[in-house]
Amino acid sequence: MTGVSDTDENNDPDSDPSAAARREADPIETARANRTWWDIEADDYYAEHGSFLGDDDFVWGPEGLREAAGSVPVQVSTATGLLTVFFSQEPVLDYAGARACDLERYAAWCRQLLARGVYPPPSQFEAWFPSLAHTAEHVERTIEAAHAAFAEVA
Amino acid sequence: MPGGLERVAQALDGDGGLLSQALLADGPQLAADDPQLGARSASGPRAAGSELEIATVVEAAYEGHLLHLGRSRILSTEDLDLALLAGDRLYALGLAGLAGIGDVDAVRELADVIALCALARAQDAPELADAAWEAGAAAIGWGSGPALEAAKVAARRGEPGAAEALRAAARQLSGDVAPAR
Repeated sequence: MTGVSDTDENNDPDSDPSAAARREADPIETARANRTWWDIEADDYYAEHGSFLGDDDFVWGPEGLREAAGSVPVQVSTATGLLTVFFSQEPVLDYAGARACDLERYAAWCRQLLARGVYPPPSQFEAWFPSLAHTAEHVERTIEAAHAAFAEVA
Repeated sequence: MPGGLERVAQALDGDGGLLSQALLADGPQLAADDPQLGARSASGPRAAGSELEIATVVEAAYEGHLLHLGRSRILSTEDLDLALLAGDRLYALGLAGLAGIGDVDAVRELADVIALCALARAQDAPELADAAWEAGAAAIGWGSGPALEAAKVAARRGEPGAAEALRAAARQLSGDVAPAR
């Protein structure tokens, strides 16, 4: 892989910015430059993010979904005031689709949620009824518990 | 004119599909001790002008509760998975009906009843669920009060006597001053 590097004259504060130029740099030089940058920044980066970074997995998206949790195929069907998490590779559009879901895994996931203080509908054939009675804290706790439960049933 | 439960069956029939096919051919089958919750709520002052709608939504939600127990007055429960699905459909029908009337307080009461029933199921305490329904039906018809709110708190805490407190609150709300039956 070939990178680019600023030319020496671009480091001159008196130079004209509009005249900035780049030059080709070979892979070794590019890697060395990047390594220096990472080494300088690594401690700060780990101090800021280390509490949720795993040693050997990924964390995806603003929801903080871990790699293990993200490997569970689910479909979430919603209507106003209702939702259901279906353990299925395919969209669930009817009763036959619901019956074809991984019912055992759904049950295991519910038990994991229950163990974390969240009482979900225990059957794949029921819906969640989120309401104004559920505070932001309730929702946050539910999401955290769901992440952990997904990882357990992956 | 059809009552609340008959209107629930008509609504499912009108939707078509699996739930329509699962309706009992001979119409609603009520046990002798059916609590008639829809009629009870509809007889309260808060239901004035919307008696039939209130009776229908309360019966829809109560029928949803029964379906979660594998029982029904209007549907076959041969397929228990379908019964659960139908139960949530009827919960949603009841809550949407109350929201359509614009009775937000009644939505809250019904949501509390459903939540207490889930708690009762987890605690294997069917008498608590029955009491929650009696109290909820009274609150929808007459409005809530301090005794009912205190009884709900007691039920959520799992306190002994909570079921009787709910029943007492229901009697108080509806002006029934007769001794506990």
